[in-house]
Amino acid sequence: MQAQLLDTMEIERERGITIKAQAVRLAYKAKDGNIYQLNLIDTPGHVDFTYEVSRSLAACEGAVLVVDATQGIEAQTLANVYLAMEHDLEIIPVINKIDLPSADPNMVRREIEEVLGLDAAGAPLISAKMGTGIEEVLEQIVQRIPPPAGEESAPLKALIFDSYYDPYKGAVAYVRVKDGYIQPGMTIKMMSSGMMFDVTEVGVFAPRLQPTERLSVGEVGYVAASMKDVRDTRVGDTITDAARPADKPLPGYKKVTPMVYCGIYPADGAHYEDLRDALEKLQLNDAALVFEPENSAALGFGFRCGFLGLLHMEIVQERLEREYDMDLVTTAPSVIYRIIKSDGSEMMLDNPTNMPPTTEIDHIEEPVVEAQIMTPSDYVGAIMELCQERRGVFKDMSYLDEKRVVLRYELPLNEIIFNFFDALKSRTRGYASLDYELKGYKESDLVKLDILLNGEVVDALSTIVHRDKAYARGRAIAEKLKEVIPRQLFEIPIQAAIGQKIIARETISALRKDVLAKCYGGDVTRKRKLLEKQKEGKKRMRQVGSVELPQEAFMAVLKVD
Amino acid sequence: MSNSIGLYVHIPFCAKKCLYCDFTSYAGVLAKQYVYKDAIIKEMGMRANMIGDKRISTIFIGGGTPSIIDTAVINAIIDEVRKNFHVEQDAEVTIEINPGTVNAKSLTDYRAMGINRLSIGLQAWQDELLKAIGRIHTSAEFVDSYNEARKAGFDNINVDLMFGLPQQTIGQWIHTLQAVVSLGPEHISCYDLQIEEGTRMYKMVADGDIKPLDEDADRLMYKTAVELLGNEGYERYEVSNFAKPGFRCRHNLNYWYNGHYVGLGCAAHSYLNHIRWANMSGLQSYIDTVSDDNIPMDFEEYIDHDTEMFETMMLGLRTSEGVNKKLFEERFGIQLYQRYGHAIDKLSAMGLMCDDESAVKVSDKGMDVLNSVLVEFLP
Repeated sequence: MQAQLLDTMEIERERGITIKAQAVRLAYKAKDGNIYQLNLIDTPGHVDFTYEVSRSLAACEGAVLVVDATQGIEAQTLANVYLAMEHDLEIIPVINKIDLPSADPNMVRREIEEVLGLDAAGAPLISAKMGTGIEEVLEQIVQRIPPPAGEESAPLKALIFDSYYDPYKGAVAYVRVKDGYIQPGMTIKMMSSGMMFDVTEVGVFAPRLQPTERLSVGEVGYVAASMKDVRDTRVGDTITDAARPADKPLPGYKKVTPMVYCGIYPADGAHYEDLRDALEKLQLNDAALVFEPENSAALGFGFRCGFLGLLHMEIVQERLEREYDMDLVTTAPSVIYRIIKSDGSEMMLDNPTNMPPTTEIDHIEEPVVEAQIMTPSDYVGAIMELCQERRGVFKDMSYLDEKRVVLRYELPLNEIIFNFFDALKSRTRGYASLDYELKGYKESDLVKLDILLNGEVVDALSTIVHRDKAYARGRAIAEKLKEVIPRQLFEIPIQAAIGQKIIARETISALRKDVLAKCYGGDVTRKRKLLEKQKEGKKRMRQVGSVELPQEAFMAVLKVD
Repeated sequence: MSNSIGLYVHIPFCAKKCLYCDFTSYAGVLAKQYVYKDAIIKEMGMRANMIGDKRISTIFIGGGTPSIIDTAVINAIIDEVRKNFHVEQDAEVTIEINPGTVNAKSLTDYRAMGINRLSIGLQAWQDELLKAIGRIHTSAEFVDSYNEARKAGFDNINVDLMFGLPQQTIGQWIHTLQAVVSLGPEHISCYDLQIEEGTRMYKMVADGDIKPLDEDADRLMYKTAVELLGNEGYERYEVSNFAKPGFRCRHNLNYWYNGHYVGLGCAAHSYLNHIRWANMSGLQSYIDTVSDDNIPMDFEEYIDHDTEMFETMMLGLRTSEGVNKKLFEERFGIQLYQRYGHAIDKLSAMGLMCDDESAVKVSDKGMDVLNSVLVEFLP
């Protein structure tokens, strides 16, 4: 069997992470002689994808908590265990990667007991890679996790916990049947929208989609019903039988709201429609992605896209580029600010460009999160320094054991999206882990930092920063832009400004020399090809006023320390 | 278009390859010159149909170092050209020579074959700089060869110079220019060193053994050359070429006018009847292919109307005369401004071009960034 079978996306396999929950069905002959049908969902772990986890948990009776024997418990482990506890699930801790030389299963076992309060005495020690201990895990699942409740004869109730877009089948819903059954030919009704569809196919994950005659109570599988639109298979919705509807839907999911926004533009304006199509298709598989058209003076037509976090953003960008072959320009991410205007009205701002003039603003509030940082105690000082720099407010600190500490900070989300994770990893040699949760909004002294090129404000480069940091940030951005913008035929002043006030300035000197001395004894073709190549390079640039900007210039705002 | 063409003959032999050299040339294979000559003569026969009755107004024997091979080989080639084609009475016939590889006898031979122009590769006046770029002669040898050439009767001599060399100072460059000017050649070429991928110098830069000259010094050298030579009566008539009145290189002007030419020998390029082609660059594969009666083609491409227009701009804008509006319109049946007005207006506004009654030209400022200017004309 192929390794990493369930991480089907190229990005997942490359990065060794799970982004998208995947379901699989397994027939297992247990030691007691019975054959059990196990429905498993493999979920992501990263904080950005908490919603994927919580959706999957709502479809389950139990959870296998896989802890890395070399890393021990991380901040995200805590967060996911709490989620499972909220759903009242039976949790089976498992210690993985015991084949690695640095594995310390006993230490990890102790951590699970002390930190999570779970009984880990019988936790299977496994190596998923080598196949060690897998049977023990399956045995524990059979013994400890309760069989599904529900009535086959009751009206159909199936929870949509995910969806997938198939070019031939249309939108395909991944469901957990809680009551009743579902089979082809049946007319189903989406309980939130009332829309009705004829089921064309049902099946299970083996792990590829495998059609079956029906899905009955307790089973996990997929439903295809010629649904064209992603909104037809809204995750969290309940599917019922149109002929014999259930009276009440299952409890749905909390609607996920994006935390981070950025502008995504086609590198070539002609591909705007292609980008829209690609985003729509991605959204079919990724309900957390939101987007709406926006227009930038610098970048033309594109989309303002909302994400759950930075990893989510990065992954969407990468998938657009790889799976849809899009060439993109993205702007620096922004959080959503709450602006209270002088007239008392309120606006939510996800694009710094749209910030009203300061005269109309009473005050600005920014989202703050409660961050949990788990770290070996050696790095506590370094982390506190980092959080201090990032306007963090210290909440508390607790020792998990003699060597591991959890620090709790209140931090502006704005500071977290600005390279925080990289900074944390680099200051702790990769040992610290981070988890956070939105806490609400707090008033803050924020200003809009504009960047002017050749005297003109480039809207796509504007950011919102804390006043105390504006000078340093302005200088850093100007320096970075000087680095990434190639010299052009004229001198280009780069200025950072707050309102009318210039706070930093750099100059890109004019291109001095760009000429071929010799014409290669009649080799005109070579010379023409060189120029054609030069033109290709120019085409990849965005013309902003008279200045040509490379795509990375728009991310420069983020890439400074 | 006139019915005459330029003829280029490539002699790919050198005593030693210079560190910056990106041309097709081979050291240590001089013995192949005779079979190579036979191949060139055979290729001439293959091209005869295409050339037809077109007159040959310039011949350029380039290299490599044509002066290190037997003058009889050169003589045989030129003889064969005259036998096969109509070479104009006043044709410009140039041979490239390197200092120390000619003597009174060979120079007299050249005169006798009708060669009337010499191009001498000096590059720099300072022997330490010459050594540093892999040249095998001294400036004293250059002076000897130059004087011998004058004695032999050559009254049209070009001297090739290079600037922007690693370690070169502006003082050394001015001294080089002054020393050459004092000898009074009719034509001087000043080439800005380009460190091309694949050359030994490129590797030396990559390995950190040498440092390319910084851009400011390089541009200062160029400006100095334009001014100093201008004051001495040498007009800059192309990016890298300077001549006393009446001594512009006709062979090269034909390239810049986007005229037709045929190149013979390995790696030679040709442009005729809307086709550009290049011969294969390997010496032995060229010889073998021609011996087997096959055309030694590396590539050929058809030049459509729009590409020809662009190439006319690309080449013509290298010259101080620029692209002549009337000639352009005659050649393409469209007004130059109608086709390229957008680019011309944009570049003129930036001070990079100027546009007068008869021609469009690149300004002095534009010459420094000619590639960026030309990109605007690409279709």
